[in-house]
Amino acid sequence: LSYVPGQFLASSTFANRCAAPRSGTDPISQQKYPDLKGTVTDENNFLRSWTNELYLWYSEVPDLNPASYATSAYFDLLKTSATTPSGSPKDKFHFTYATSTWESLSQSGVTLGYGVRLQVLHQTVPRNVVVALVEASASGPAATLARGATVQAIDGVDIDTTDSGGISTLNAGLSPSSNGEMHTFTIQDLNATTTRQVVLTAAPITEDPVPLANVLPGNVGYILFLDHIAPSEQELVTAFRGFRQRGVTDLVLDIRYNGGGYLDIASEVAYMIAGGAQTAGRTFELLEFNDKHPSTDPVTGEPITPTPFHSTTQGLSTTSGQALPALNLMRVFVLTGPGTCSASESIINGLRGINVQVIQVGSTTCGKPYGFYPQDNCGTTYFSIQFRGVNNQAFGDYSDGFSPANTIQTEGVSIPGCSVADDFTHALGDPNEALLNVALGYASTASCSVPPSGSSAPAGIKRMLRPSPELSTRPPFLENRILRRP
Amino acid sequence: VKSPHRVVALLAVLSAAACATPAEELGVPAVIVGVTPQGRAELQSAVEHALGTQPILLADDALTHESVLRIERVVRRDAEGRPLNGRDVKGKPQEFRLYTMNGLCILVHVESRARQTLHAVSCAPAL
Repeated sequence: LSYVPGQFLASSTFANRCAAPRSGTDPISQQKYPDLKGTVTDENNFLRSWTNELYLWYSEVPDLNPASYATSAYFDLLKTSATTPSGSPKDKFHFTYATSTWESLSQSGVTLGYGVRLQVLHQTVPRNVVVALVEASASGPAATLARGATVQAIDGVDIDTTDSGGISTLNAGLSPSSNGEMHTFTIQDLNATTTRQVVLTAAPITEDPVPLANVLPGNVGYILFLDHIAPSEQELVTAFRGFRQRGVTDLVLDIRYNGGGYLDIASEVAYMIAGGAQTAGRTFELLEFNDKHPSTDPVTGEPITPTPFHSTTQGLSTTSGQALPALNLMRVFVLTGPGTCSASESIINGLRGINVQVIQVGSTTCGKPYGFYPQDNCGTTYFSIQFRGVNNQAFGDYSDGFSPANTIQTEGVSIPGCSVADDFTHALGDPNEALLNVALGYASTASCSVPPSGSSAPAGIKRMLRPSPELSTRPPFLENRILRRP
Repeated sequence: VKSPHRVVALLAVLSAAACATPAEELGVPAVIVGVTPQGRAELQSAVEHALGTQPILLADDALTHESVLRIERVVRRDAEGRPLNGRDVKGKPQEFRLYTMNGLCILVHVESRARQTLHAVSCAPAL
């Protein structure tokens, strides 16, 4: 089993041969751990062969001697080093997670937190952390916060500290890990000249993935869609049914903070926008694996078939098989930002694939047409890109995201629309909020207007339309380490 | 969440403690009323026992607004707050449903149809 460059044994040859085998019973499968005594080289050999079998760009991976590296360092090298047209790494999504953590469960839509969605706009000094929205389920001091408030300090540590211990304190406050954990935030509310202290307590928070669905003047529907989690399915159906009953003729889909989730829900949203006539028999998204697997999903063993535009509910939080309402629109406005990712980008790409006009207002999306099946080996779950999603026109090349047409120094695929910075000075759904305001103007004039005055960032906010490459390649197993040293 | 291993394991775990029951014998869909620490602890324990893992993060008001409780992997996010698995093509939550019959509150794991009576929980028919 010694290393021979260019020769790869089946990954199953090396699977579960661990330098430090787990003992006992897997709490998830309730079966004895499959681990056998092995070596670091065995684990590396598994990763080498598994990557060669399944990685989307396996032919671009360097073939390195597995006996020469620690496993984590070896995995980091098992990816393409190519770059996109913008100069970003082609593979920005290569990481690991402790299996015991990855497999942990929760009630759908329930997370441990404060009920406040904080956006880290700038991770290094001068740092900017702003309240993007407050969940309706937030209670106590958290409920006194509002969009646009900025975090000045946490537990007495200034947000611009350069001390590593201080940065750990900030990160601990931003990502609490246990129920009942309390942290003191020094907050400057929007338009305030002074700060105040707010003690936030971590608790199970029920997220509302569709907190707003309104009809604005001119029969324009506005829907704020935050997460493709299971509970969103029922809320989306209810919202679109209401839009249909009220005769909505234009739609603004606000997905600026929606990083994806269930692809089936993205398909349902696209169907409810476009309707049956435009979607019948067409592909919402087709998964493409590497060229070793042209017709069979190599992980499930099932034939690769397109995900259609679902015309019925998929049973994620509804009764499966119910007809979906549809607006039968020829165009849709999407409000976007760097948080618009993955399944959310699939909505854009899927609709463009059937020639529904997608008008983008906001900033460039994250650029993730890819996906993977997480793979455990020896207690570590590996994430390595295995497939790409393409639309009805076989298009899926948006690894630099989608960008509104008038974006300066466009990085992503340019599509019609207007470049507008996120506006933390107005509530989401407020017609004066910059992105929504410009979208409404475009609906009337087919041109990009200037947002209303006052829609600038809060004091101290430095606009960052895209995370820097360093940030987007951060290993997510370090997700709690949100802030970095300068 | 819905891996073959887990389904097999669930069936194995539940077979000794519960029994498959036709839906019509379970009563009517119900929601929890008058949440108590004891009731919450019993629900927590029942769900963790059924799925063979712990802890499982539940909302304080689980099963108080609707008769269905869905469980799935915790959504892990990157530094920008985006889900790590933003294109989930196969996953689906596991479902529990609460019923009431003859004054009893009965929790059913839909996939295995196994049931457990919750003695410390008060429930009423869902509207």
